[in-house]
Order: sequence, then C-alpha cells, then structure tokens
Amino acid sequence: MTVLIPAQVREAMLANAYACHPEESCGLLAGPEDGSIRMAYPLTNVLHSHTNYTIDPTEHFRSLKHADREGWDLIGVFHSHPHTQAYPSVTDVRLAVEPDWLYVLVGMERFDDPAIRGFRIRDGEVIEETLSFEPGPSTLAPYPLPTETVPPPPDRRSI
Amino acid sequence: MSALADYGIEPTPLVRLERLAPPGIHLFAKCEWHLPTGSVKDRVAAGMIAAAKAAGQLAPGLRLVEPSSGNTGIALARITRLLGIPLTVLVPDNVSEERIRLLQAFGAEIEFTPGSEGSNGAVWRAEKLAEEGGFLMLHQYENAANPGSHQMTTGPEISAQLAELGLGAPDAFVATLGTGGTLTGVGRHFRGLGSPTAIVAAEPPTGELISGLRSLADGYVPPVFDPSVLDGKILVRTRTSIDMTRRLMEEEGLFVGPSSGAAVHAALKFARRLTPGAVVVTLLPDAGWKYLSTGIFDGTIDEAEARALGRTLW
Amino acid sequence: MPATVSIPTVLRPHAGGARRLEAGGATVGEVFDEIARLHPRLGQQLLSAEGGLPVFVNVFVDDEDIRYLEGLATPVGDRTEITILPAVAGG
Repeated sequence: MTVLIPAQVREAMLANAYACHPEESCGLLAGPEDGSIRMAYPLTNVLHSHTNYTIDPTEHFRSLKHADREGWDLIGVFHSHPHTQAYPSVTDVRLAVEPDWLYVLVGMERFDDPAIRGFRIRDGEVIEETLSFEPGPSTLAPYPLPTETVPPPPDRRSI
Repeated sequence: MSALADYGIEPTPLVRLERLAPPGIHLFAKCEWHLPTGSVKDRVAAGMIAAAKAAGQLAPGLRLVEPSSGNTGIALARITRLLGIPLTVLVPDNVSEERIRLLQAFGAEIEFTPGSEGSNGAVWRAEKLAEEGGFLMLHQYENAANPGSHQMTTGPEISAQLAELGLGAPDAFVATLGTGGTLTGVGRHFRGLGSPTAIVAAEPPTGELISGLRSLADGYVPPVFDPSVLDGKILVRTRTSIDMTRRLMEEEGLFVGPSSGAAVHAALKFARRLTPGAVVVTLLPDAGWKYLSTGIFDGTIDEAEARALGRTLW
Repeated sequence: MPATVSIPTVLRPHAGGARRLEAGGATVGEVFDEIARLHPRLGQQLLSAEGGLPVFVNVFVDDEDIRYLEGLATPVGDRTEITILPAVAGG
C-alpha cells in the first residue's frame, strides 16, 4: 500500500527544507479520514538547530484548528536532516508519540538531490512506508522526479 | 602510567608537524593509531567498560549489543573478547567486506540490519534489543565515560608530553567532532588546570552529528558533547579533508584517515589567528588502512571527492 | 458548566479512550487535578513530579498557550475549551 504525496505537498516540504538549511525544518501533514494527505503546513523549528527540532506549539495549534475547519485530522509530521539520510534518527524514534502518524524525512545528504521517505514509528520500531509522488509542475524541474520509493525486498538478511 | 592501562591504553606519540606548520607555530599531533585496535576509540571503549565494571554491570551472563560497525565497534570487540563478554554488533548489510571481517577477526558476533536503514536503523534495533532482549548497550553518544576517558588519558598525556619538551599548556587543542567526547574530555582537563587553551572543533559536513539526544521521560538528556567547552568550530568539507589527508602523507609521511586531514586543516586555519611561538595540538584519530577501498588516496582530488560524496567518511 | 478538555490521541488510552473530558475547576491546574482523580495515569502524564507542566506537554486555553498566560494557574471559566497538544519534536 503506497502513500500518495501530492505535488504541492512535496514542493512545500522541499522548499521548507531548503529555506531552513542548515537548520532542521519541520511541519505537519493533514488530511481527511480516508488517510490521504491534503496539506503540508511548514512550521517553525523553535530550536533552530542543525540536529534537533521542536515544532512551535502555537503554530501546531493553529494548524490543528485549520485542519479541523477543513474536516481533516493531523496525520503526520515532516522534518529534514540537513546533512544526513532520510531515515529516523535515535531522537526521532524516541520522541515519536503518534503510532498512526506518517513520519516523513527529507534527507539532504546530497544537497541537490534530496531524498523523501516515509515511516511509521511504533513502540520504538521503524516501519517504512512506500511513498508515491504525484507528477506535477515542479520548481526543481532540472532534477529527476522520483516516481516511487521502494523499500528493499523482504528476503534481505535482517534481525 | 595511564588510568586505563589495564585495558591496554598507553600514551600515544605526540609528533611535531614541521613541514605543514605555519612559520613560527609549533604544531603537534597525537597519533592515535598506536592504540590497540588502531583508533582513538580504544580509549572510549576502555572507559565505558571500566565504568560499567565499576557500576557492577559486568555480571555473568551479560551480553553487549553495539550498533557501531566502525572504530567503536572494533574497539569494543577487542576488549569484550579479552574479558569474555559476548558482543553482538549490528551492522547494515551494505557495509564493506573489510569492516565485517575486521569485526569478526576481533571476535564480535555480527547481526545484519537492512542496508536501506543505514546506521540509524542499526541504532534503533540495538536499543530495542537492549530494552527487550536483556542486552547492555553502552551508548557512546550518551555515556559520560566517553569524555571521561579523554579527561583521564588524552588530556593528561598531552600535558605531560608538552612538559617534557619544556612547553606549558597548548594555546589550542583541535579535534574532529563526532560524539564530541574528545573535545569535551580534553577541554575539561585543561579547564580543570586553569589553562586558557582554546578548544576548537573540526566539524564534518555530513555524518551522524548528534548533539542533544532527548527522551520524553527525561525531557532532555545531557549530551556527551558539552558545547560550552568550545572556543571555535570550523566546518571542513570532504574535499578539503581528502586533500589534507594526502598532504599529511606527502609532506609529513603520515598515513592517516580522512578525519585526521580534517583535524589538521582546522588546526592550520585556527593557527593563523595565533602569534608566533604559539603551540597547537591536534589529534589524528586513525591511520589510512581502513580507507584504501574508499579511493581517497587514488587518482585526482576531483575523482577522490566524487567517490567520497554521499559516504560518511568519518 | 465545566471546562472541556480535548485529549490527544496518544493520551486517550489513559482516559479510557475518551477524546474529550469534562472537569470543573477555577484554574487549569484544578481541572487537571480533577481529571487526575478520575484517571490517575492520565494525571501522571499531565503533571510532572514537581507538580508543574511537563516539558513535552502544551496546553491551550481558548486558543492561547498557557505558558504565556499564568501556566497552571490560568483561570478557567464556564465552557472553556482546553486543548492538550503533545510536543512534536525530533532530531
């Protein structure tokens, strides 16, 4: 089951990541009951840190109110790793409190070719979700648009 | 006699970098590959095991789990094997064959984690094992014994070695920033003596920068790295690290890893602000052997940089 | 009429699954004490050991963050809406 990332949501997450670089950027995702993603709210990282983020509580509250008015729930959070991979860090795993949320990481290890991956984080465990990216006009036109992230095949050696 | 001599930690040589030093500056480097497994992490591993022993954690039946497949994992593998403590190292299944063989040679048991999860995947899986499976995880990013080992050994070695040369405390100490243990520990040593030594970090452009690990229950876990100890931070790009690593080989005859190149570059940059006669000490974490397959020593600097892009070299 | 407290998803198991709770009190602190009496585990999450607000819990009274008002002493009137939002953070 793949999660569709609308073009505008992808652009908003990337723009936020670039605008905040080299600090971590962050924001919330909202959508209706069917689980689709309709809105990305780019919000302030009150820590203004390269390695940590905390979403501004007042902005979180306003996003919640806006989502309520649209009949949506807050269904996820996105943030960037300005220098490292698009994968939850130790801190991300420890501070993830919402078992049903989608945790999207924008990894800027390769500054000109950011990676976007999505995960569920439950009981200290990370489960990757396949994301599919809606094609659409992109401000990053020169760079190839990923069509889908593909998690590794299940027969991989792992614990 | 070193505080961690029981674990094989003896003073490492302090060499003078005559050719790279700017005119009038005395530049010295600690050569950490002389430690038992060839890296500065031998100090950290010894310190953490010594602390665990003092805390009574090394009971029979204990098993250790460690997510580092790099220098820390190797250093722990050696000590735990000597002490007869089983160690499982979690390794992403896409690391080089060299790494895996090296860990196995030192006696670690290896379990593979999905390569797509990178080193972060190995860390959360190790934490899960530590929580559920009764393993002990030493958490080098959160363990006070990490900077503690440097405060006990690295710092005092530098002071003693400079004293033998008739020199006092250095004007600056420059080291790479990983866990922040070296800078914090050596910084505290010099602060404790009342020395005005500037503590300067060479910061990598990529890699696992972790400052301020936090947990909900604690609110904020004090990091190993104490930023208040720093007097300067110099960002060093991959290309620059590689370039200086090659210069260390060509001009000083030192075969070192890329983090050493970064440290020396930062040391030279900081030294420009100092007056003639100043003493700068830097730390070279490991030798170049492990990095031969990364290609940083081959071809042109452009080719080497291209090969290195996207990899965590240090 | 008592205040209404909306409970975030992560804390609902401690509130018997409820999305909203009603509780009386003249201040936010009193409302939380009342809630803690009925739902002790929820109370532990809302109040730190020292009796203050835990670092990772944000509380809004009618659209304002109580940290900018009077904290747990912020007065609560009839039908006041209290929203609890856990901090969203990471690294």
